[in-house]
Amino acid sequence: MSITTENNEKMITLMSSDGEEFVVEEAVAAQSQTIKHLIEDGCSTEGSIPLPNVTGRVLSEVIQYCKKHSSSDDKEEKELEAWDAEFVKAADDHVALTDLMMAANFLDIKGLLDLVAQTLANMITGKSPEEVRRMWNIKNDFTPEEAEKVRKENQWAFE
Amino acid sequence: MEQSITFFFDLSKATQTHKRKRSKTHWRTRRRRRRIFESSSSSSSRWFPPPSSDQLSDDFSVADYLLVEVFCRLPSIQSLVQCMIVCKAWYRIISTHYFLTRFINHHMIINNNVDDDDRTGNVLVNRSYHNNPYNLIFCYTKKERHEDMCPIYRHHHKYLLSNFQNLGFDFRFLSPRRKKKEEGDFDILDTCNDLFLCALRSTSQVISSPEIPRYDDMYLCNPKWFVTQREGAWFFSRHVIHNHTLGVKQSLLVPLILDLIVMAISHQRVYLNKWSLGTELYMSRLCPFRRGLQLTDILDRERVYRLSNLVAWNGKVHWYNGKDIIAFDPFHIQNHPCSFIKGPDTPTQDHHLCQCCLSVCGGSLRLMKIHSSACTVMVWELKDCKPGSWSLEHNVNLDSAPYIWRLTCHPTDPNVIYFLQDKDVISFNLKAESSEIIAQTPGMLFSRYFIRTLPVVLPSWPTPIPRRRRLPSSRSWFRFGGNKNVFSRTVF
Repeated sequence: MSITTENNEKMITLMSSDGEEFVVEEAVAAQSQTIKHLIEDGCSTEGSIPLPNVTGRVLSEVIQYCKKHSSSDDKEEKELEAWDAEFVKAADDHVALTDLMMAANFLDIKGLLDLVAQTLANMITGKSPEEVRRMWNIKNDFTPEEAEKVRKENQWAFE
Repeated sequence: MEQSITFFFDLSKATQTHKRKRSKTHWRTRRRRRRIFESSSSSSSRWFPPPSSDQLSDDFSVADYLLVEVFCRLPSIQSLVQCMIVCKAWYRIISTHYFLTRFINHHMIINNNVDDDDRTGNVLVNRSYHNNPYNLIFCYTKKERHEDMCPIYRHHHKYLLSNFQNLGFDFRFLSPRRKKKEEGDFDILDTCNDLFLCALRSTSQVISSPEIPRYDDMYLCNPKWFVTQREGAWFFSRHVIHNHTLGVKQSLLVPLILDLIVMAISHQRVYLNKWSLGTELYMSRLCPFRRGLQLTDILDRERVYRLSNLVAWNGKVHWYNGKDIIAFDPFHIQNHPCSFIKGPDTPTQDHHLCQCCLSVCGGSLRLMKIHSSACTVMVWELKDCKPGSWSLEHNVNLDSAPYIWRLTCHPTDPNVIYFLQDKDVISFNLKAESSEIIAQTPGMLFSRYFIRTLPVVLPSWPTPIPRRRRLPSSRSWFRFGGNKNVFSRTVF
């Protein structure tokens, strides 16, 4: 449903997978290419836009990000960077970050995808495979021989 | 919380979960693919061919693509390798050509702004893969006296390659660069994985000695990729060495993930027993390929004398002088770039009867020596650089004492060596002590000095050539464009 506020800003309603509704300005929502296309195709006129892949908790974070980035387009980059750093820090663990990344991917928000991917990459960097497995709850499906083989094959990287 | 954990569990066996997921997310996957495709082709200015749709793995799920995004942003090859060991699904993703292309592209863009000193730690030297096809190029030069009596030599080069045709590439695309349509009027100076350093010979001048050719242009090319990418966008015409007058004995390609170096080394006598080591360094970082430094380091002849081939290993250039290994560091040319590693104790010091070959196999430096009169092949592996400790890996007697020359090692199999005997290219297994003729050279070989063996490893992804920073001058730009046309005309 399109609502027009006092300052003539068009509002869009987004509905998360768990039924939560978020009313945001169109400019904010249009940061997501997916939503932008939906609006262009006229999907927003008949009620709220359902986002079946994104939960309310994640969506609120995404909206937070979009708001900041739509309002501070021409502001100093440094401030935005600092804000980004705080933003991913708040998400803290990889579980929240992967949710966020899934959502960024689905909603097609390049900036957020970059940010989260870089944060996750930083988390992996410098960790041993065992630490990464523990952190991300991944089962090691290599046999010791296979692992040794992979290591040997790639020995050149450590010379 | 729970759901997200499953998500990464899914990642660890993404292929299986993919089919289940597909119905729901299929449209999204396709969309995402297009986006990746677009971003890689536009922002990377085509340093790699944009992956065509059939190259993108159909097994990739959305989660895989997200992992690709994460892995792309890892800072180094080392951390990437660490991730390969985490689980099979990650290993699979990182091994795909699609991912590696993305990774390289990402770092190419990022690292254009990085300082020159910041390249340590990312050195890839003589990368080789065990399971990948390799090839042995055997090339020789046949010289002929030109018809008129001017001291001009015409050079004909033929490249005899075992399995060469099967790999589906050749160098025909370089020949139309000549006005006269002579096939293969160029040299292959060196190889590095799947890259070839080719040089077109200058025909317009008197060449005093056929061993010291002059080259008009040099090209770094990747024939394999060139042909498989029918777009023709993947072609590097490098105006590397211009009017080269020095005797280029051997050139060398050192691939770094961020830098590519072409190096020419020559020895020049300065006075009586003192020789200078002339090196010319061409670094891709100083784009377009430009002469970096010329070093004149006066050393005793005995010390810098070159008896073996040049090998890039451990970020340095190595060669053997009969006694020691000389390690030359092209990155620290200002202060003592030459260091010496004590060579293995050999039974004989009679260099004239020995042939030596340095190689890198499985990440270690190897020295191979064949003593013609004793008919023995000895192979050492370097265990420790500092004191120079070597272990003797093979000591094999060749029964039929043939005169053999132009040795080379298998790039990945430590037990296999190649040499030339009469007209045959022979592969010899040191462990089984069995030999096999793998190719024959057509016709007579005039001089063994014109024979060179170059190992070629064909990795599943192309060795990166860093992108240029600036647009080249109008002339070389014209060359670049011209070559693309030439290619499309001649090959397809």
